[in-house]
Amino acid sequence: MKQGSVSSFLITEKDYVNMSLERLKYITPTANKIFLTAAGMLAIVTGSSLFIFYRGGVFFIICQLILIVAGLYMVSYSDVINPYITRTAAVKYYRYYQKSIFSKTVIISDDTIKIRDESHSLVLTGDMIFHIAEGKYTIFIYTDPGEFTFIPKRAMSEEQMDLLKKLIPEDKVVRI
Amino acid sequence: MLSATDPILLIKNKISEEEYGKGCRIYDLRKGRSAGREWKASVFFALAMLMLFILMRSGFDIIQNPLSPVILGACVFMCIFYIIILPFAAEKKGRDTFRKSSLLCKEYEIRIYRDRLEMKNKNEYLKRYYTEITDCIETNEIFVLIGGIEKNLLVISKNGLQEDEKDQLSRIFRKEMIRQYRKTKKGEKK
Repeated sequence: MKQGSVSSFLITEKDYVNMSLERLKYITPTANKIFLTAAGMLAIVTGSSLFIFYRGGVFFIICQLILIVAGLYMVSYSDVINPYITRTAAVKYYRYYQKSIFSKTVIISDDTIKIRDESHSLVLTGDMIFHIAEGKYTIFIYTDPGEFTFIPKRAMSEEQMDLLKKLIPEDKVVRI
Repeated sequence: MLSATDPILLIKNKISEEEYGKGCRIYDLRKGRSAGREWKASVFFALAMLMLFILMRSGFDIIQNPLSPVILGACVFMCIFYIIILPFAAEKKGRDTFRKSSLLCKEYEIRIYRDRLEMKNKNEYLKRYYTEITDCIETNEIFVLIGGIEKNLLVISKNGLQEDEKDQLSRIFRKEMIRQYRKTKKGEKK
């Protein structure tokens, strides 16, 4: 019986941060980003116009300023604020669980993928994989819409990538 | 007599869609978007009251004060969003995830040790030390264990367990995870 292609790796802090940022990009719908940016710009334009052309009383000025600040927040949320929060949380999370991170072994054969370390192991056939998402630095293997395991791309050879993609239909492989 | 390497308790466990949904709801309340919903809703409520006060002062003249009713409406919506919509959405998402999962519906053999638990079936093996767990919440139907760098939500169903097994599991978790353990009636943080 053919054993399959084998590789071993240890997840570094950089791997975990890259994974978190790519996952954030993957799970955030583009429509949300567009809506948030558009709403933010509308809020800025509305608040600024009212502030310049129609001051009103103190409370009205406060409302205009709140509108402008809220607009700035919404415009910068998707590309600046959220990635910063995600990166900070990922670093904190990785350092908290660093002692529980062990070296992983990935074995990919014609019909299964096995991912194992000292504390967690998975044996998945093609039909158990919900889909695979491929980012610039990370491969995500989803067993359901929410739960995934990830492999840094630096740990996988071209042969392993091909074998992995052959496990499931082409339409189940998504590029981030 | 049990040796140090023997499990204290050995159970077979299979969770249902409803139980996993409730587990996801609890996870969301503790670690997800619903976390801190009380203070977030309070901020929007306070802002809504401020807008209402401004409107009352102006005699509900929305022509002179067009922004106040808009901000008031948005704040009321955000209060409802955090208190009701988000937890409900988390539970619904959990149930949807369960339906589409090939692993969650399988039966696991769970071994409880003094310092860890191990879950095992044909496709998956997981060892989780209690020191990795940040929250252990017991409700009338499930145990929810939150923590770990991978698979950080574990749901153990009480359905199918004997009464003494439920009591023993509750006692073990209460003893070994004294800081993380909570028992609730409705599955929400009290």
